Amino acid sequence: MELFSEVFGAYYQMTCYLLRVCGNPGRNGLSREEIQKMADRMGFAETSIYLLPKLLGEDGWPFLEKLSGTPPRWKSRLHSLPKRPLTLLERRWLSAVVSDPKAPLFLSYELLGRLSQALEGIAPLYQNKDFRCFDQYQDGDPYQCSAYQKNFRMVLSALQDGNALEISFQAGTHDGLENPRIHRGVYLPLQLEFSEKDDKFRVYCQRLHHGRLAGYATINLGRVLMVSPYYGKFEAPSERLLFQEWMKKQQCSQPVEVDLSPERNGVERFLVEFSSYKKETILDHQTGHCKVKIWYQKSDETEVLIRILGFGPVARVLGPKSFLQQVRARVALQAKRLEVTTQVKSKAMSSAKE
Amino acid sequence: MAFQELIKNFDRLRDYMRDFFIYGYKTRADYPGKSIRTYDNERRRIESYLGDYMCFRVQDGGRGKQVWLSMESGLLDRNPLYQTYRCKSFTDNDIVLHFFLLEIMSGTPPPQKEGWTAGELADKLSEQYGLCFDVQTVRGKLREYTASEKGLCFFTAERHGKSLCYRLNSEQEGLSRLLEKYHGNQELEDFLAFFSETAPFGVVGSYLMEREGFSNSHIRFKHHFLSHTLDDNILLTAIEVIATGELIEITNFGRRQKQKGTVPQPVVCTGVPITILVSAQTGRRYLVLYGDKRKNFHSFRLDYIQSIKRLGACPPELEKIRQQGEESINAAWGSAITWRPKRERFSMELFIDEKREKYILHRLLREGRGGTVEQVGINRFRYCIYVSDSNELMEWVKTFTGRIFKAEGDNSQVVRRFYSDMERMAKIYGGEDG
Repeated sequence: MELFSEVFGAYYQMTCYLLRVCGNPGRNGLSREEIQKMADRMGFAETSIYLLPKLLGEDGWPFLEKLSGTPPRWKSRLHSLPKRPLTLLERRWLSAVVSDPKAPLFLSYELLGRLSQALEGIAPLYQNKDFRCFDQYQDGDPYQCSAYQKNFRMVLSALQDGNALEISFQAGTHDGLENPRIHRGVYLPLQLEFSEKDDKFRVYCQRLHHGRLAGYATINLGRVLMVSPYYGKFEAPSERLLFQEWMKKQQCSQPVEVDLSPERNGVERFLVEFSSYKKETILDHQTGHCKVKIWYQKSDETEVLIRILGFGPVARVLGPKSFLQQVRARVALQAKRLEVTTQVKSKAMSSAKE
Repeated sequence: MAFQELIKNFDRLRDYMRDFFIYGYKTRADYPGKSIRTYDNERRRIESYLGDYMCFRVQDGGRGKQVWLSMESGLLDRNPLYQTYRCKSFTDNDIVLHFFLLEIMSGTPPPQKEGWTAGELADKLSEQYGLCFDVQTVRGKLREYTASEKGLCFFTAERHGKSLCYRLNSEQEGLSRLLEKYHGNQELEDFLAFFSETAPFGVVGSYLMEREGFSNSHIRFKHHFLSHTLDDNILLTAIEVIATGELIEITNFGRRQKQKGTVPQPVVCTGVPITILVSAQTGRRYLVLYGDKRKNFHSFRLDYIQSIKRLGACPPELEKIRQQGEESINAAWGSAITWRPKRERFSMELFIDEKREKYILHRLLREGRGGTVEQVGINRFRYCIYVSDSNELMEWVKTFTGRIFKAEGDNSQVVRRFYSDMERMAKIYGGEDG
């Protein structure tokens, strides 16, 4: 099996698309400018430089026929609209994913059944048992629970159709209450988010109050107790744009700046672990130390903080001030706790001696 | 030779992509084994594929231009690094035969029920489109599109007398029709969008998305390690050999081999592949191998493996090795797998406000990988675990900085290092300008 094949490449894809457009009977071919625009849009930065002479040049590929007229236009020489058949690689990959426990969240039983039937006899490209994830959180969402599946599908369908829902869910335990609060409200789902580490889905929603935008909420799908359609009227003016704006505002105002020491392979370990974040690095070639700036979502600040602390003295936080203060507070508290333990220990030892 | 946007071998890109994306601090001077021209060409290619994400800065001290790829995975609708799989080079004959042969095979009934011979197809290309190809060239393409090793299988071949007859692979037709029927179906679109980012070999899902004209407008991915896709060719071979249990030879460039300023030298190791270990937190993936020479397990990071060579011959004690591998993996906290591991105890006592900080208790249970948690005093809890190498869990332990009363364990070196780290941290952050 080969993943890297020209058949899936940008040039083949673009040629296929071009031949479909140029071969459309309702269209009188394409002009050079239109073809160039298409190459610029679908290809890499320098694609049109290489591809255009091949498509339109005298010694190029024989796919297009120049039509008479000014400016000249080109039409497909194929008699039908091309579509690439499915490859064995794609079928084997599909065969693997349809058996994933998360597949029924997205597909109806009918479609899942049809897909499985069409893939019968196709060996899956991989099996889940070939992979062992050793640090995924152990309280992941119950993907195989029918109530969870039902809630998930209602949320997904509302997201697809732009409908609002009445949702009741259990709040997290961060507020320290014995019995977590139950929230009820009307929400317009805007975006799903999945974290492999947390093994959880969250949905970003617009909260509605009397049909009007009343802020945003993030709901863990695993904490949803009940979902039902909302039949009331609500304003839905370009909510996605507003949401994008809101998401941008969630970005930290200043990145956290960390000095990484090469000790214990710290630079490499840190940069791989934080590779999902937007970052900027500068290496001091003399000392091997690396200064890195990490941009993160404000809601993730504690997570970023404790993960940096996990690197111990190898990662030294330089700023911003508010972040550094939190680190200092935790380190100072830590020193105090260990000091207390040492004092208690030595007292116990001296009283034992006495 | 003039610059070409497309490349023949994906490995050429892999190291540069990783350096630009993960490290981002390197300049041309940091590639001692490569010529200036090679570096410039690879950088230009990557800029061509991923120009929107590329950043530059001129470094002080005349070290040249620093180049990096800047992406925040949580805000992206698809993995931009999949673009690098779309740049395989090809010949003029390859692309011409691809489109014309597929049109003939899918639209014209073959001369005999078994299909078309290579000669008949060469004639048809000439007669219908005026294209002259020798039979050998046509046969080569037909073989390539029939062989399962390539993973394409557009055609099937059947012997008819002395000649091989080719026809469109009917096995894919049912699925193709189904996808056509559900074209534009939102649930199918979201299904492919989700798995093309989260499932192994997600790039294949992205090929399907492109084929169907799908995009992802509903799902985003947090803690998403985009660079995994760069190792998928290695992973694919690894998965195939895990299934067969055959012996392999790994060429590995570990960090010790990648010492600064020198041309890296690989380490070659042979053995039996056991499984793939994945870390959802650190973004590392490993191939666990039973080394047949040292008779021990080794974990090789996939991103350090340069190549895997299949040696065939499955060892007779395969089942025993696999069973032992399973036990060793279960005994490990992370990826440090050893043959017949001895478990060592590690415990720590933590401050947790039992009324207000239940979420910390939940954290211990959720992230503690089977360790036990018991209350040992007011707002005082003990976490305890037995693992084969307690050094591995220290990064996690230190995420509780600020809460730890004491740490104890069988491995005194690990415990000493923990206390020494805490002292160093206190010194680093203790001063006003710390």
